[in-house]
Amino acid sequence: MRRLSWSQWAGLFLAVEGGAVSAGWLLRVPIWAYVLPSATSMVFSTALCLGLAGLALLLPGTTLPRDSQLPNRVGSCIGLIGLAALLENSFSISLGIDLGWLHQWFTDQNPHPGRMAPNTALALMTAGITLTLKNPARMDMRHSLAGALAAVVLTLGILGLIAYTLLLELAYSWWGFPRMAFATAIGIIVLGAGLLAEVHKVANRTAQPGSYKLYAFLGMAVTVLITVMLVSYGSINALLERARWVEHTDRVRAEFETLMSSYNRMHIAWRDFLAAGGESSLEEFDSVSHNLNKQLLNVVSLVSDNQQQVARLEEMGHILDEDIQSLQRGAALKRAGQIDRRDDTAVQLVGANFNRLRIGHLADQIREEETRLLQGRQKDSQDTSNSMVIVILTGNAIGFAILLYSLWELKRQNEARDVLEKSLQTANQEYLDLYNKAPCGYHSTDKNGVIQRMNDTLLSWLGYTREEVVGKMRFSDLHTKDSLQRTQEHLQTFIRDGKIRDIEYEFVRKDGSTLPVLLNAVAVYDEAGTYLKSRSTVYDITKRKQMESELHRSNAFLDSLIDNIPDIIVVKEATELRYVRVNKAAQQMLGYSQDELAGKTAADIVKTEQAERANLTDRAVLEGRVPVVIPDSPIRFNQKEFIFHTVKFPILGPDGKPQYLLSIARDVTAHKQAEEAIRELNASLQVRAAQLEATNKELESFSYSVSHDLRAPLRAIDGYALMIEEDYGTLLDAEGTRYLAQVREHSRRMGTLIDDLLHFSRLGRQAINRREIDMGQLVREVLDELSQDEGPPRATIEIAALPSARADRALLRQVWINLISNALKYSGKTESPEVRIDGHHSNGEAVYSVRDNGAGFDMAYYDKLFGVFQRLHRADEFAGTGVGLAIVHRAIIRHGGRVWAEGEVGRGACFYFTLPMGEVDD
Amino acid sequence: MTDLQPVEILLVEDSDADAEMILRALRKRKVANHMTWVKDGVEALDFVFCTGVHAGRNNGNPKLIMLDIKMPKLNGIEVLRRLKADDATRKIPVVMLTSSAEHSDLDECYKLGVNSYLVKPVEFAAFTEVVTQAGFYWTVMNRMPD
Repeated sequence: MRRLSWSQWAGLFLAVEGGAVSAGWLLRVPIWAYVLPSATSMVFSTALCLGLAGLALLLPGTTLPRDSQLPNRVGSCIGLIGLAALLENSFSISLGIDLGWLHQWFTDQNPHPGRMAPNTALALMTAGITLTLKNPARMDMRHSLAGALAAVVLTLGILGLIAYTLLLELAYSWWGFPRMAFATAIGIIVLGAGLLAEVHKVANRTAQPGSYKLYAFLGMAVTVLITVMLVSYGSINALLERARWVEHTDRVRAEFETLMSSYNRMHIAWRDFLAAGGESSLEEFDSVSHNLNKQLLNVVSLVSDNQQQVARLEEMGHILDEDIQSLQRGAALKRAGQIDRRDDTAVQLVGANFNRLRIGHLADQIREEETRLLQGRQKDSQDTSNSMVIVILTGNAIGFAILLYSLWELKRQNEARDVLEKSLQTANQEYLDLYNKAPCGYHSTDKNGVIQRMNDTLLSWLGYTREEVVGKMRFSDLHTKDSLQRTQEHLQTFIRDGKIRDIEYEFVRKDGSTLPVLLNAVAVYDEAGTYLKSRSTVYDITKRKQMESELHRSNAFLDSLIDNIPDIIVVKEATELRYVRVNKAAQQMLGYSQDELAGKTAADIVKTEQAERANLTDRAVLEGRVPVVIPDSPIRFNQKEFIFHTVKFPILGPDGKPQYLLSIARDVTAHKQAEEAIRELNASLQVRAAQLEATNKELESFSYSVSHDLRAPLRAIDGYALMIEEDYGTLLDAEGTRYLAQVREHSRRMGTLIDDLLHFSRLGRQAINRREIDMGQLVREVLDELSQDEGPPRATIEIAALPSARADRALLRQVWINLISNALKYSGKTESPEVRIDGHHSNGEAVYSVRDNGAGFDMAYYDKLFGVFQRLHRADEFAGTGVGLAIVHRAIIRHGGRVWAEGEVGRGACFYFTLPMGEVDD
Repeated sequence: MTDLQPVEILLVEDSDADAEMILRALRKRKVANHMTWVKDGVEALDFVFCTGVHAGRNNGNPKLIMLDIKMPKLNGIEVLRRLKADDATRKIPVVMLTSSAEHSDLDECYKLGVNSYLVKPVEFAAFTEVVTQAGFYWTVMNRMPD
């Protein structure tokens, strides 16, 4: 069982007390009704109300649900009973709720058996109202009032207790109301405290838990002050009453003394008559005695409330009557003359002295009594006024103290509220700051879609000012048509569900551009559940969109990259080695599409042993976690032999374990075949190269021999021919001398042929020493040299600006000598010979040309043009050995250039050659 | 053959024709009177170092050696190497006479310290001119250390 709260403990106490007292009345057990002996008893209806109130405090939250309606019903019931009892007391009527029959067996000071004391009734009515306020759902709105009322109940109880213990008579002796019993006062206090505890508990759940205290203290103060007022009023009434009594007593005493003096006068008159016997004395006696009875009756009527005095006066009346009769008898005796002078015997005879003594005695008693009464009443009055002063002063002091405390509490609460307001203001500013500067957009729209609020971020995104948007534009005004349609689609679900999540929209900016956003919205409803407005958060997803399209593009790029790679790329997942991704080359080779292969294993598409072999390798790669290269492995697919160069490597996942197996295989079948062919070619080439080298060696030694061995005999022929000419010239005739000259001429020509041939063969072996050559300068040098050797040429020579080139200067010099001297030679027989030397850059080459308008050549023999010892002219037309162009050809070829020519018989020829530009490997 | 007269020019030449033409030219121009002609490198070295068939020779070093390159047995370059390697013969001027203007031969000879390198012209007149000028220069004009 849960721990009881303070209010529940109070409820438990009240339920036990109320139950016990009720049972006491029903079972007629006096002590249960008294509680304290000599105390006033608690009436049955009070006990019933207290018991019910106790249950109302105890049960909700224990055996009944927390939101039970019991307290409200009990509250109504108690409130009505309290009200009825209050009415009964106020108008001194009976409404039948006293249940007097229950109280008949019992007597106490209650003037109306079973009637509640008025303050008990007030307390119970107030408690009843407090309980009806206890609606758990609304308590927070009324806890101030409930606090005040509970405090009233508590105060009434406390005052009742104080009154009971201290000022019993004073507080209860006026107007004859029933008194609040001691046990009732205790019960009311507990009830008030329990209600306050309940209010405190509820108030603690609200924003301002302490605020009810102010009202509670106000309730206390008001109760105390009103009570003091009532007590003062009653006390003043009592004081006046007492004053009236004192006055009354004075009057009684005065009337009584008048009576007594009349009595004495009667006796004096009687004695006078006896002594003198004057008729006037007798007449006075008669008139006094005659009035005496009336005077007595007057006094009796004044003291009619005091039976003792009345009894005394009646006794006095009897004695008076006796006295008067005896006096009258004495007077009659006198008149009869039986008594003629003042005679004690006569007095004794009628007993006048004895009666007078008895009346005097009684008069003393009456006087004493009245004096005692007067003194008591004066003292009471004094006491009452003293107590009244104390009560009024104390009560007011307490009341004002509580009021002051309330004021202080009010001030404190106001200060606390100020602090709260300030912090609220700060929080509000902070919230506004956060709202406006948030990295996302916020906006709110009313139920018609009109923008109510929008933060700075969103405004800046859209390019609007707040004045342009808020209250003027609709949510739909800010969207593209497409998004608008989506809004319509989502609106109903949004209003129904109260929220919408991560919807992609497009805003339209002021400048007409679009802003892609992610929208989240919350709907706000009123208490009746009607849709009021929406609050939305939007995120700028421009970057995300860009990244998405970027990602898409890069994925597409990677896909096309992978697909277009001519190598075979296969990705398998690492656990069961199922195909995940195969590129186009792989699909073509295997004869399956990506979709057909996905999820399959090697065993599904190739022969078992081949698949097993592949799987074995794959597993080894995955276990070793290192790339494995499988060079040149033959594989059969679709009845074809392939040779693949394969690399397999594991792709590790984020956990460091192999996730995929990537195989890249290159079909090297053709490559291998080509390699094989190349190897064969190389082998034969090596043989050929060796042969060539040997041939070259032979050629070299041949040319060496030529230079020595062919020249020596020639020199000998020439030498001996000369010796014959020198030593035996005189013996020969002209014809003999001419023959000898022919011998020498031919041996000389043969020497030239040999020299040219040697020169040509040396060209093939000589190393090329490339340097930057200023071609224009070189050509001018060559022309100078040619004019020195053969005299100034007849031809008009034009030299254009020639591009420079990197080449062997000596070889190029030879090339120019040969070409220019050829041009001069072959144009030599023309009427106006012209030679033009040209040059330009073209396609990374320097192109040079030498053109003449000479004899030209027949293009039909072009293939002989650059051959060694090949001539297109007879030696008697143009001298020459036929080596010049061959040398040109070989020199240019050795530079990596090209040589060609154009010619026409009788119209001239043009020789071209090129040299490569930039660095060239020899 | 014993000759006490100092040899002015030693001609080393395997070609009879060339030797005859050289000797005729030198003699005709009176460049030298006393000339010795040997036909190969071995004999040339025998002559210079007085060994072999020339063991008894005692008429001193020649004033000039004209050396053909291409010879049977020991060629001219080898002879030159031996001559220039020996202190006794290093100072003898050596003129190479050759039919070819092979650059490799030219380089080799100059490395070994040849004094002149002449290419035999095919034309006889030019040939005799070259030979006589060289003989004249080295035997008559040039001053040698004592």
